Amino acid sequence: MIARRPGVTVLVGAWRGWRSKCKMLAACRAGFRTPQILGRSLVLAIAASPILLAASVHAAASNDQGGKIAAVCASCHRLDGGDRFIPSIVGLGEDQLTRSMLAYRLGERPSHIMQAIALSLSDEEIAAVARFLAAQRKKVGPR
Amino acid sequence: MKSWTRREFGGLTGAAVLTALRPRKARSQAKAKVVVIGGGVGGATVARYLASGTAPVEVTLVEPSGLYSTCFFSNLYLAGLRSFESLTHGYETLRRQYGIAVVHDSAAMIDPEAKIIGLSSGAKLSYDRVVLAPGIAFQDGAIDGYDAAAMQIMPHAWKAGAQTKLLRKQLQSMEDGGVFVLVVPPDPFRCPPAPYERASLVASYFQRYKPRAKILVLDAKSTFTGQDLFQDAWQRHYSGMIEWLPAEFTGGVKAVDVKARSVITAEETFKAAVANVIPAQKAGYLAQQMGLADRSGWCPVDPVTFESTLQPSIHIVGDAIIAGDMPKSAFSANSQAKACAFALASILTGSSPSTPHLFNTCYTFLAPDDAWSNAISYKPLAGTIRTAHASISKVDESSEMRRRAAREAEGWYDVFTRDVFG
Repeated sequence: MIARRPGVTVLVGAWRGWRSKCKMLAACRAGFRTPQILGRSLVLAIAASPILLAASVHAAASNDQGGKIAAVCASCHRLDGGDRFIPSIVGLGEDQLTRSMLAYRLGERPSHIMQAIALSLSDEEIAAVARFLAAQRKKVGPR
Repeated sequence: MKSWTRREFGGLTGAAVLTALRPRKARSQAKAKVVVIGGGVGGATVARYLASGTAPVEVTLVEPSGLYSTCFFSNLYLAGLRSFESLTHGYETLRRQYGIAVVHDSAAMIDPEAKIIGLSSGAKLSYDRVVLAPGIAFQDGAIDGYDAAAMQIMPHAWKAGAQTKLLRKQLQSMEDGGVFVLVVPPDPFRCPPAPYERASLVASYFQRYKPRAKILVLDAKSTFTGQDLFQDAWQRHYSGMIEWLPAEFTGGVKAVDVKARSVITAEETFKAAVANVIPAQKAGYLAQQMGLADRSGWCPVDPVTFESTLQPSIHIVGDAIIAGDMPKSAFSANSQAKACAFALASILTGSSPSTPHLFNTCYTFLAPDDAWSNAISYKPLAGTIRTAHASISKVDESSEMRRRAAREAEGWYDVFTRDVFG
């Protein structure tokens, strides 16, 4: 969750229906979910309406990071959930995604591919991609 | 120019949808023009990720062929386990859904001063940034007598297409008891484990249809990727069928005799029933012609933006580049292409590119239901790309794990080719 300029270019490949409405949804989710390992998102959980605006900007910024990391996921996982023989990563909550990634990183879940991915990401990056992917379930897939 | 690219190449519907989806601010800005040359995995991925982002970019993809067949998974086709059609992909989705102008032509020249690309048809394209994904070319004269005519008798099958079909045909019509000679080039070459996967899957085909046949692998190297995994599997699945001869045994392959269908090494001559000669490689033709390759034959690039260090404003991705620890593979090309697309979007909107997440995964078949995989993450470091975390299958893992990897690989192919071609 690096602070970035709002309105920074967001590039995400496999899904395109990415609009301010969805950013808002993601922002709400980011704001009101109980943060686990994600220390810094605590700041967002203070509640009340002025925070929503701040959260929206913040989510847009971190979605940029999340989206770029999700592009790595898209080499092996469909972002519309139509995978065959490969676990789907859409339709899961942010906490569940975060916990899975941390379990892969620790080797508690077996998959050396996912372990290499999880080891390459910081806590902050895992949080960003989990938030991004969790927001995907509200959208129609690319096709 | 603007009107012909969109109209003639039918991207209007997709372009309209994309424009509607873009934020209002983007619509009012002039669009930057990016031309991507080469419609393989690297080129198609760059085009798709640029076109589907929110940066106001007009993307043109220049590719002579209307269809692309993947080299990855073509060993399954050689073994009769997959159809050629299942390896073949078109550009319709990129055109219709992503509004990319797909131009079926080849680039004859690039003028980096005027920022103009000359196509073989005589047409010209102007650009703000150009991305090359030229793939590989074969080194001339590395093996005496192995020329274009020889390739029709002893296929390389290292670019998927007619060559792959020719090799399949030869394997099918080979008599039982014949020797299949597979010549493996020196590093670096496209897809390091693939020659050994080819030996494994052809062995599985022989086991079913020509059980007395033998496979002889004549290697230019003395070790290879996944050697322990392959040699263990050759023992388990195909005992006595595959013989691997490293360079120090043979002195290396020096020549071929097409008429006698034999492969000549420094020490010995081997008579083949079918010979598959994979020649030494270098960056694709256009990269050579444009002076983008250094003395090694490959293209040096910046590891964050994939901009050529020899020609500013020309970006290069995929097999043609010097990518440090990253192997030449479709997965690497896809990963580099996304990084390049993100970097270009930053450059074109005046922000600075962020550090890319680079990754490679290979699923490699040892038998139809026995596959191994590896996964490596990379980071740009001191002007090149270095391994960050690596993880690879082990010799002693369970057969259930290997079966699962083989199934996963099938699923992966579908997802991956969708990520590339839409």
